[in-house]
Amino acid sequence: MRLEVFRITESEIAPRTATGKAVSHLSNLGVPVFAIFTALVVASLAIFLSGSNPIEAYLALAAGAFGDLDSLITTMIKTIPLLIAGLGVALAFRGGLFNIGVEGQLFVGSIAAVIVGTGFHAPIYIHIPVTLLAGIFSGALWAAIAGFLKAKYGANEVITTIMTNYIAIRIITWSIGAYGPLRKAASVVPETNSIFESARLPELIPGARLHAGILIALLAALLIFLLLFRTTLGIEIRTVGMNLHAARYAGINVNRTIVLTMALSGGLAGLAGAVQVMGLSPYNFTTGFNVGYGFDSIAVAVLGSIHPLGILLSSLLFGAMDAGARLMQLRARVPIEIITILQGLILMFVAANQIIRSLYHIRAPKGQGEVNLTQSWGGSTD
Amino acid sequence: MHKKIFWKFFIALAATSILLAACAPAPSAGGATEEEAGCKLKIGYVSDVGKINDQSFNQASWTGVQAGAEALGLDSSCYSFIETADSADYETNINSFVQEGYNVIVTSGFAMGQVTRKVASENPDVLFIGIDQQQVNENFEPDPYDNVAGLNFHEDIGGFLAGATAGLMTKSNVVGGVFGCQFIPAVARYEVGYHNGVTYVNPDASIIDVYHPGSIDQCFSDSAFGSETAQSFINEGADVVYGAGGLTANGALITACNQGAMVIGTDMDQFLTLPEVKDCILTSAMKDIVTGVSDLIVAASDGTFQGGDTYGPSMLAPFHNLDSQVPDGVKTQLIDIANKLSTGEIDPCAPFQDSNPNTFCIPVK
Amino acid sequence: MDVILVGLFSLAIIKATPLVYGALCGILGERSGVINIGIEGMMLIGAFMAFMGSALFGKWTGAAFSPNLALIVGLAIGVLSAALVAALHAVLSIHYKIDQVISGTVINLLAAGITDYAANVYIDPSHLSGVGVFPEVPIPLLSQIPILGKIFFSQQPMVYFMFGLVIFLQYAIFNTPWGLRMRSVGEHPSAADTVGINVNRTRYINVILGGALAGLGGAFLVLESVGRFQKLMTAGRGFIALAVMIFGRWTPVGAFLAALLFGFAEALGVRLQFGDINHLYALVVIIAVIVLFVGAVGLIRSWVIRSRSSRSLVVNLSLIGLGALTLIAAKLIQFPDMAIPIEFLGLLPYILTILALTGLVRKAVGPAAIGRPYEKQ
Repeated sequence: MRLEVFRITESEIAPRTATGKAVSHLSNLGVPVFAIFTALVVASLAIFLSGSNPIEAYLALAAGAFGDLDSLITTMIKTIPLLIAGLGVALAFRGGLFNIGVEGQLFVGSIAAVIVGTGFHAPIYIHIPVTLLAGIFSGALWAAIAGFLKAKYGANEVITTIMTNYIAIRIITWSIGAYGPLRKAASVVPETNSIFESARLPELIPGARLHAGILIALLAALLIFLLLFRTTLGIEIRTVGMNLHAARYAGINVNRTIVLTMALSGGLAGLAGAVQVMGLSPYNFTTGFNVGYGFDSIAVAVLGSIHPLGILLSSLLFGAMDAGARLMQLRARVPIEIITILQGLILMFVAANQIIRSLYHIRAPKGQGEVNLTQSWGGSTD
Repeated sequence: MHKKIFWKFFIALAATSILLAACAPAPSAGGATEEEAGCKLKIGYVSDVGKINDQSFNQASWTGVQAGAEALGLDSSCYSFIETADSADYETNINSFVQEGYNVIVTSGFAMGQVTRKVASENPDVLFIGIDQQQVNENFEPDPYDNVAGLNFHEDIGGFLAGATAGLMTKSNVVGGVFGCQFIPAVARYEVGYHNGVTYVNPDASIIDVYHPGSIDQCFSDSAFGSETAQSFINEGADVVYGAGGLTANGALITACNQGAMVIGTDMDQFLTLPEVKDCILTSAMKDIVTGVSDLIVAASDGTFQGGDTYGPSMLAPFHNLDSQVPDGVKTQLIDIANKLSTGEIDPCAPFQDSNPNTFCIPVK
Repeated sequence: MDVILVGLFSLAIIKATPLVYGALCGILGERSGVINIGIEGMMLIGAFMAFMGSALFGKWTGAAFSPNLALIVGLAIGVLSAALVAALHAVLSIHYKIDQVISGTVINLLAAGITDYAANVYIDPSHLSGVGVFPEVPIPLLSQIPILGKIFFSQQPMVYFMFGLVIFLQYAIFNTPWGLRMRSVGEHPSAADTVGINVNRTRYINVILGGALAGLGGAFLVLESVGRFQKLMTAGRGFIALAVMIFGRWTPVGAFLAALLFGFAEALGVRLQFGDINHLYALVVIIAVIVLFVGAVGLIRSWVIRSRSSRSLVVNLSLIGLGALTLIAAKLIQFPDMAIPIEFLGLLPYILTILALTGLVRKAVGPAAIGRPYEKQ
């Protein structure tokens, strides 16, 4: 079970005793670069077959992601939910849990933010934090159900989060639909009311769409890093994730840790949903909003080697591709599915870096920490 | 690092991609300037969440853009599309076309209505065509802009005609309907109209209407759900099945057809778009988006473009292969109903018990 | 009532079939120690290639052969392609030892991207048409049995094949040397290795076989259900299959029952939309049946296993009594006419699954060595 993605490993995070290691890590940054390059070349075949010019397509993709300030802002806006939700997925993985339910938790967080954001008037310095907290807590509670069911009944979280996903999404679809209580009166579109201005995240540059959510996301990355690697709770989560028996033997309250891990993971997902509602015009929840972030964030988390720093990079990569897809379609007439193929290929080549190493003759580094994504899946629960 | 071998690979890969690039037919705006000069009009299309080739709504819109461009003799580099993946991107996607200097921007789907109007008010020089978008302000009062044309349809009329056809053609007196998302007004209009249409001609018929219960990413695209539901209709004795709702409905139509029932399609003439059902499709409740969009694009080119709401015709597609099986009496009756609908004598959108309130019908008169 | 029950259960079986195939794919992989969250992708590729195979064969040969031949060709191509995709999963996770969850995610992304893309670029512009579906084949005599005959023995061939496969695999996994080898590789690979079992070869074979089964599930959607490939037509069924597999505790029969429960609940959600059954009445009946069932299972369990942890006799008997009483009461009471929103009706399968997990199934424990690549000591 090796995860050698960005090669940011336990050894690097731990207080560094051997300074030489930093150098070897630097040379390994080549692997993802070459992996992305290889993925681009392979995907260019598909672009070519669709009758478009691959180079033109990639230039448009790059322009759409980084070409000008507006594109750059779009990239960052796309990165925010992926980063926060990706951290949530990663946190659960660290605790040996596979949270497929991020999509639903994100929806729940969005709706909670809408309810609180439209529920009352308050000064901005109260309303924004309260709305954010509502998103976090609702997502956490929703995810904690799966954690509780696992701790209490041993119900596998993969099933329960898939189920709670559907439940959340359908109830929310109902709540903004024809008969729903949250439906904005006098609107053809199934949508909620916009949250009050006091609950909206301020724009960092006035008029440029980029909202304070980016700061929240970065802060979340920092906090999760500290939580995982600098606190007792982090050690407990990771111990449970690495070896349940050892965790029990060490006197860790495994059940409590499982519920807490799920809650934290869901809290991040809920935060992502809340930030989306609070940061993006028209500041409400509507059908078709946020679709797919929950599943993309799984890919982001594993691509980022389930480490906050890695996720920062991988979410930026995915965000850039999502943002650039506009111009790639517009200028090069390449269907948007190419992005999905590209993301799959990148994930594959980055993960299966042996292919890349043998292709480009990059030496494998020695000694890395191993992270098991699927500890809880099988019999090792007991 | 074995530099040599690495460079060999690098060069080989780079060469491959350049080769691919060189071989690629270059229909597109690669060498921007001179091609741009050849475009008297640049047309951009932004799809709703969902795929362009959904064999229904989005596809009809895109086909309309292509038809309009062809009518103007535009090169294929003069029109392009963006598929929307997330409703939060509507504005960004529309603005991308504005920034790239497009003159006519077509947006499809009621959900994009307000965003389209917003971008339009910021860019008075660009013409916008909004499909299924009523030109109203936030309080539902008509509020046309000069540079936005809303192309709307009376889906309830189309649905009513489909229902009348089903009600007249059924022998078992059981008819079914498979619908996409119930929270989408156009779908609700089809359903309510269909229900009323069946009841109008055949009050004794039992009508089974089923919506997909899922969210937007599922309810238009779950063809297996449609198929299974149609199967259960057949088990209940239904012999006419109507489908309105993208791929979900397509699944229902194909399965009902395979099981020997007659089917009725939606939006486009599905005799042409869904070849599997060509021997059992009675007709389709058409919403002629293609002609509507194409006409508006031509109008944008010759300066006759007018802002505000326009309503496209709602009609039935030809009976095609089943023409001989439709009695003349039925045909005349349908023509009669169509006339009454067009004068407003029949209200296709009348609510009934537990009917979907989400219709937002606009009366004909 | 008979008509409604027959309709419900036939629909439940149709809905369950692709789930069972997907779950069997998962079982084969995971019993040998390889997690497969790429079932969705494999099913999608299976569906896509089954359509391409059958449609192109039908198109190229014209009407020279019966459409069933085209369907069989499509089936074979769909199954082979899904097996090929599974082989990619096997190579990535066994040979390259990359995390099996990542490998599965890769498969899902690639399958969705490639099939969508190909449908856009090829199927839609060329108006490629499907060649129909496998016909229903009522089994002589058996299909004459009242109610059961209509439900189980008047189905399409791939449904029968699914029945057979479930029984065969249940036997094979637990009663044959092949099954024993597979399970030992999944539970204790190093021990299996010491007794001469080739761990990685077993895993390769199982994953690829599993892929073929997922391909069957995808092909079912095209060749027996919809009759045409539609983009993303698996619509999450691969993930539900995953849940079904775990719910069924990694056994074929268990997965079959879990899928049936799931299919039944979904069918009920659809059936209640027909409007001829009182929603409240139906829900009360369902709850009563579940209570009754839980009581009966508890009673049998305490009888057979004599396990001390199971509920006491009194609790079980009162559960049964309560269920029976509710059933009788439901018959007598006139329920108010109230339509439950369809989104809630659609929730039935998910809620039932969660309830069943907490009440009926004790800890579901998968194979011990799951998720870990095997390295010789």
